[in-house]
Amino acid sequence: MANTNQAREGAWISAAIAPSLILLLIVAYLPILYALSLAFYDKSAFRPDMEWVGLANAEWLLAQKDFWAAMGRSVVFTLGTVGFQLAFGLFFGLLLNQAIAGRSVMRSLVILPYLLPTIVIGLVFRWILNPEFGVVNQLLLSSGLIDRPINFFGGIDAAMPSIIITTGWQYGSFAVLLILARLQSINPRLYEAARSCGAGTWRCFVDVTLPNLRTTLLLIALLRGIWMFNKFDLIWIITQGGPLQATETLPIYIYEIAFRDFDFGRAAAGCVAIFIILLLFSFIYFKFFNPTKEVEVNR
Amino acid sequence: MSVALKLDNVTKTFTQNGKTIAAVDDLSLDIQPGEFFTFVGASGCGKTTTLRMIAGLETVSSGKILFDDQDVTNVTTQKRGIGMVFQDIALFPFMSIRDNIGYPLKVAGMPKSQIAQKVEAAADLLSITDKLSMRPTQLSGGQQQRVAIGRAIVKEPKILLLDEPLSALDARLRTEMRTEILRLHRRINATIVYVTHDQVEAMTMSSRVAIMEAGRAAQVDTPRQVFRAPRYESVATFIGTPAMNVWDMQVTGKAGQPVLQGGGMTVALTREDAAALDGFRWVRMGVRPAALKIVPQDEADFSAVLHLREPLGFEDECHLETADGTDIKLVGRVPDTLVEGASLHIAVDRADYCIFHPDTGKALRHGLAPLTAA
Ligand SMILES: Nc1ncnc2c1ncn2[C@@H]1O[C@H](COP(=O)(O)OP(=O)(O)OP(=O)(O)O)[C@@H](O)[C@H]1O
Ligand SMILES: [Mg+2]
Repeated sequence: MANTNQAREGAWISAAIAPSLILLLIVAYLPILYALSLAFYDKSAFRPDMEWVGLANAEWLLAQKDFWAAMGRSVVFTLGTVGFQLAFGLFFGLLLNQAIAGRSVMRSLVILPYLLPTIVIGLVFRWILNPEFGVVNQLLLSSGLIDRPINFFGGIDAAMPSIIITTGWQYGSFAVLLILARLQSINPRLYEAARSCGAGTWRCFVDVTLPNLRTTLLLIALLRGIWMFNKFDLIWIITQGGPLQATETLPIYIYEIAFRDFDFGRAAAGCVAIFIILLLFSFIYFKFFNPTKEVEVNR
Repeated sequence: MSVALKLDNVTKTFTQNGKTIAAVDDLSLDIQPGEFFTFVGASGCGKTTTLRMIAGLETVSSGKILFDDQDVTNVTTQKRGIGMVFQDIALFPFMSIRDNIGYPLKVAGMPKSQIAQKVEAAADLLSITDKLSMRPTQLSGGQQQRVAIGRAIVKEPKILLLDEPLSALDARLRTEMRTEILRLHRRINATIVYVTHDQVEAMTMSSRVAIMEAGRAAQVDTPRQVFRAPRYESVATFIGTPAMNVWDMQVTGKAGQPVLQGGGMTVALTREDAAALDGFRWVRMGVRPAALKIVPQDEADFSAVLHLREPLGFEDECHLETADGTDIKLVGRVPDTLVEGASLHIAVDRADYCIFHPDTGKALRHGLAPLTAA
């Protein structure tokens, strides 16, 4: 009896959630599947038909020097921006956690960049980093630190660091918020306990603050790592991957295959590559860092 | 011998919402090496603040703190070389029990092998050897408490500060830990400064106690002396369960032959009492519930009606009402035949009562022995 009852209940539950499941499938998963499946076809934007080519797109992609170069730049960009955000978040998180004057004002100010539309940030940074009339160059010149203006986004060597700093700046406040929230949840008694054990400021940081921040830092690294590896908009707005290919990361490279060469099949193969990389990354992360357990707050 | 810990006119004020309160008000005391010294008092009387100032976690507003005759008032916590157990335990959640206990030694830069040895010894002393590789959250409250104590003693500090270390434990565990802390005190030979709001803890464990009231020490004495010769009515009613009975009494009678009248009783004064009460019209009479006895009518000081009896096991706590409506309590062995509503004849133990100043609450006389000048 109990079994049939349970079975009936199960059926009801399935029936009840079926509509939303189906909707999710149609809206989210089907387009993804479709996009991924394109990777196995020869599909041009100008022809309605498509032809099964198996792994030919993948083979082509892996043979491209540009693909590997873009992959390298993506890794640099991801590590750079994530590192920048962590450092930025840690610095301002710790600073704003101190009892400093104007703390509450600072706290609201720090979230601002996160609220700005990307297009605004792109334009503003192009403006302030402009070699001819950008305020940064003016300051550097007049203070005598440099004697020729730096072409931040236009120089082969300067472009990538500049774009990393811009992106890092935009998303750094997210890290500040997460880190600040975590810092405020640390039991102040732990610091007092550490001090009563003879620990000074540095030891308190290493033995109390850092272990408490570990999960938050890992979380930022994972979420932002995925996000930054996929980052397209800000780079496209500021440099379109240039100068030459100095800031051409994987998403930019794939975009160009799709909308400059109009080869959707090969572009899709590029998307699959990103997908696999991120899948591997997440797998390693979950396997070795066990975030669900780490995120548990235990004081 | 030098004084292990000296508080010299220590004051701590806090300002909140524009109001300044003195959490600790001009406190001075000397604690001898090896003492088990306890601060006890009601919530908010400044016990924790005092302990935190001794630890250096709180600055003093004025006054001085000396360890072994050395002024440490401006020395930071980490340099004071104390061991401390916090009320909320505060173990490091991300470290194993082993690392928690060994932490002060690690900070001090002791070699690993030596740390391991000392941690083992401390764990052994506190019987938590089998828990060393666990995390704090995997331990029960009592075990965590022991780890906290282990962390505080592993460096063999000369001064050990304990802030209500047993308050989180259930009654049975608390009794157990009380004994263990005492045993520990004997073994480690440190000066212990202990904070509690539990008078039983204070009375059973300490060599001396300070009864704190609104930032001041109302009395600093041995537990026995505090119980028998309280300096103030407030101290008398704070220490002892159930609380001491205190009621108003009028000083009357012929000149040279004064008597105390009140609470339905009339007591003739001894010559010394009479001298001490000269000039008073009213006083407060204090009698411990255990100093009241049920006696035959002809030996009684007064009679009262039994309202309620609460069995304490061996004895009963009896709620009585005297003829003039004063509520008093009596603790003792009472015949089972006595039922609620019965009328009883009560005598006061002449060797065990106090007389307090009607306004200041200061003790004027103790039945046991005349109080030496305050
Ligand atoms: N940081 C602070 N800021 C303002 N007032 C404080 C602060 N710390 C303590 N006080 C005040 O000082 C007084 C004494 O506090 P304290 O914590 O020393 O009391 P306590 O005797 O330990 O009480 P309890 O038994 O409740 O722990 C209280 O009135 C409290 O409100
Ligand atoms: Mg307290």
